[in-house]
Amino acid sequence: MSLLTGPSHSNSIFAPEDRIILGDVSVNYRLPRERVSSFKEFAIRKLQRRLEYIEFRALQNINIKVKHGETLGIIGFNGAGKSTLLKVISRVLHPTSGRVVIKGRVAPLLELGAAFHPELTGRENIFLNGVLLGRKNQEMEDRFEDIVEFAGLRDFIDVPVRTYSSGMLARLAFSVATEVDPDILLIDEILSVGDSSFAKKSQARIRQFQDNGVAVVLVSHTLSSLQELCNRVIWLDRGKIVEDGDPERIIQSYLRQSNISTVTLPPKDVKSSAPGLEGSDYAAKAGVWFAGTEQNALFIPRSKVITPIYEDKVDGPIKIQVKNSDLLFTSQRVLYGNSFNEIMGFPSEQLTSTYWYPWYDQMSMQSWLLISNPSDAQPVDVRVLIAGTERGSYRIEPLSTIKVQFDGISGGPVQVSSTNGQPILSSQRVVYGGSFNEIMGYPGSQLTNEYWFSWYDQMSMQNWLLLSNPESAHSADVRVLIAGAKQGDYRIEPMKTIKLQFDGIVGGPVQVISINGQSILSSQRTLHCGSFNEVIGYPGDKLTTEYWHPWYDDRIMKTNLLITNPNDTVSSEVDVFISGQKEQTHILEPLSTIKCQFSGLTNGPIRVVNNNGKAIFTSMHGYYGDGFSEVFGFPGNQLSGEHWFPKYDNVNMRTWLLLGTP
Amino acid sequence: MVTEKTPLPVYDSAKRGFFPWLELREAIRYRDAIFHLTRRDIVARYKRSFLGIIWTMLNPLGMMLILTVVFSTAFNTGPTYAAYVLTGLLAWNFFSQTSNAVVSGLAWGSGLVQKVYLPRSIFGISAIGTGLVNFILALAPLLLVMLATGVPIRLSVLFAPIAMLMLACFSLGIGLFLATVGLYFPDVTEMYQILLIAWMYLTPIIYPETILPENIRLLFFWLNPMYRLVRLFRYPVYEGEMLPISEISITMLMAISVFVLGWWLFSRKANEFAYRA
Repeated sequence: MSLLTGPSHSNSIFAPEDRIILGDVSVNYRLPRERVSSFKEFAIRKLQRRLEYIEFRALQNINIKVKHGETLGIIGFNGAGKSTLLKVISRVLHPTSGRVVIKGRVAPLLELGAAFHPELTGRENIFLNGVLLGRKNQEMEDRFEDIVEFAGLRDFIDVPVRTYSSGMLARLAFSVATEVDPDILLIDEILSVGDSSFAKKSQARIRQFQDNGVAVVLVSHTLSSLQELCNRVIWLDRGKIVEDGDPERIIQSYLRQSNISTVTLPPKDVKSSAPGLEGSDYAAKAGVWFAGTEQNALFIPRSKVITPIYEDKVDGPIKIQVKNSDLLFTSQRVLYGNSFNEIMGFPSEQLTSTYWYPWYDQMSMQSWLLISNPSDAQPVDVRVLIAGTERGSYRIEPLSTIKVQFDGISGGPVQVSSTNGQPILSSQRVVYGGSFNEIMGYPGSQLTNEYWFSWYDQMSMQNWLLLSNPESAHSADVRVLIAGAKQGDYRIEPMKTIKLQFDGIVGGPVQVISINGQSILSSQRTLHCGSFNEVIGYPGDKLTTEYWHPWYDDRIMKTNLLITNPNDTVSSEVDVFISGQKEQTHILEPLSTIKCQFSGLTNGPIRVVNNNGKAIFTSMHGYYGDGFSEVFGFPGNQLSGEHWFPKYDNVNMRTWLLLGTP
Repeated sequence: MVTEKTPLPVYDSAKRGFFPWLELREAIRYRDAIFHLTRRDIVARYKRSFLGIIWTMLNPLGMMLILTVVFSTAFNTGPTYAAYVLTGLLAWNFFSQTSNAVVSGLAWGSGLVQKVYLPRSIFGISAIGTGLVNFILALAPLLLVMLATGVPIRLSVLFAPIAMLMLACFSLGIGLFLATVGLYFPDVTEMYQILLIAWMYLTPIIYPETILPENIRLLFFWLNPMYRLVRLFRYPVYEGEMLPISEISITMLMAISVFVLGWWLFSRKANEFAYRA
């Protein structure tokens, strides 16, 4: 570190009161797509040019100046880049590009006591921590008494800190880090240190720093304390500054954005276009029925998606029917707690009498089945079997949906069927922690011997593959391949479901295939930061060349579009259209999955189409809050004029429908 | 209004300079941290064991005892074998332990360097510091063994600190090299453990160098730097004579080169640690 005596260019950008300057700072993490951990592997891949990286852009062209005496707050969703920003300022990370100039001594209150050693006494740890923060031994000796005094730990100072309570440790760490005159203070979410009286003391100290002109950078999710302490706030989103300015104004607009409805309820022109647009440029007119009651007609503009929300409505089943054109794609999006979920509408042509799920779990999570009778005339009798055992039978009135739950049951596979062959509709809903997930039942008429998933990741999340044998007589021998590599062969006894995990594996696509030709069923369950998601595999005999996703939102959540080439010999060329515009073209190697991200985009519909006649499939990974959600693209050759959902609930959760026409 | 009492320190990411020099300057600026890290390692290690620091001395003695019982008749070296094997063991143990400790010290430090800025080399240097303290402590039992077995202690023993310093240079160079390569290939640190075992047997530590056929011995002498470094320490202590100045200077040159190369590579990649860990 040099004093401010260098060449004049370093002075020129510096006003004397500036403490922190970030000029066009970007931080890119370069993550290998698959972990290469040995020379041999590395050499082989390098030769084959198969060493692929994913660039993760944690910060993108950030420009910030923080002056003497200023207190800057940083807000943003998880993964917005707040911690990375603090690391750049505290010099832990050297920026990938751009320039960082820091003038003055930095006191980071990042992770209190990261350097404490449990066997050393409080006294020894004060010195150790102090010198690791860049102080001199002599300074620590001079300040020692003040530190002990402020922490209020005089009686315990010669006792190993392993005997300290967490509150005592926090007090000691705070005292060490602040007991030097810093010019810059970095605080990461630690305003409540120790007990309430110490919390007051530490707040007072921070205010004293502010009064003395220390520049403070504060990251917190506690918006009230930010508003109170800061005189300026920056809102970060996916590595970029969204807004910078007055705390109250920015916190307000941040809060508005967090309320997803205003964001994902999108093209404002939709509402205005609804009534009286007849005859002008709309592609389709659609009717929506809640349990047989028709709602106002909806008009869908060309290459657009409309997203009606029905306030205070809980009802089912939902039917969406297009009136003047013949095809439609639909989905239902749900926000519940801190989680997001999407399911595709179920086309009428595929309604059948039996549906399957790999698993039902009312022990470690809350699960229930929804069963609908789409007939407007006859009631239907249904029964539910779990792992071959009947768990209940029910009568469902015409155009109604029932909810069934089986206490203390955890097992699979689950079969829902009508006793007289009449068509029904079913889905399974799960609440796990604060997260919600729904999957449509898999139609029994479409059971097959091969299923696909886009991606398997047992590194950054927890992934299970569930493999079910819905046969009551024959066992199934099933092979699992990830990115073409065989993970193992498994025998599934009749009416059983097995769960598999592959440690340390990240890759895709995943192929689950029964090698003795038995029909099976497979799903993938995911736990990501405490939130749960499940998808049923995409059937191998329904692969086609065109898929639809109603909506893509990379503004309020982070979304990846995954495109897979399941063919093991031929490359596949795909185009991605968003709202009718061709946005990207990709060449997919055989047996590969690519992830596309359209940074900051929120628009729809998405059409992915292969143009050399090769079957592909797609899925979308949405990260909202802490939650993860996946949904497969809707196959273009299964588009229908009529779609169903078992239930719409805009009371206990936020739910909206998405409708579009090809 | 800003009044500046003393000029504030300025960090400017655009000023890169000559990285091995910058890293060295930062390490020197953080010398108090090196001292306290070293102190922590030593204090923490012995705090909860009954015999405490005495283990540092008992460990090589025990090893020496076993080797002496097993090999002294086989090599037909007489009573001074104990002192011979102990000098070799101390030098070798220092090298194998500290080169490993540099790697794991940097790994331990990675948790910390994610939180606060620190020149990363200080974790490597403090690992060497800890090793040197242990080495010095183990000299006491070595002198006792020499007295007990009648190995004369001559003035040449005063050369030992220089030999130890060269061993430290070499170990730090190897450790920094391994830590940097291990950043990209975690397998390397495991491979190194196996390599160390082979390396030990390719170095005359438990066997007298005279049992090697001359052409093999020369091969080892020129290809195995540890052979030279063990000799650099053992000769003045055990044999009580100075090595020829030509051999001393070549050995020192080699140890320092390894250090410089390791340091250069490490400081070049030092910024990567926060990205990778």
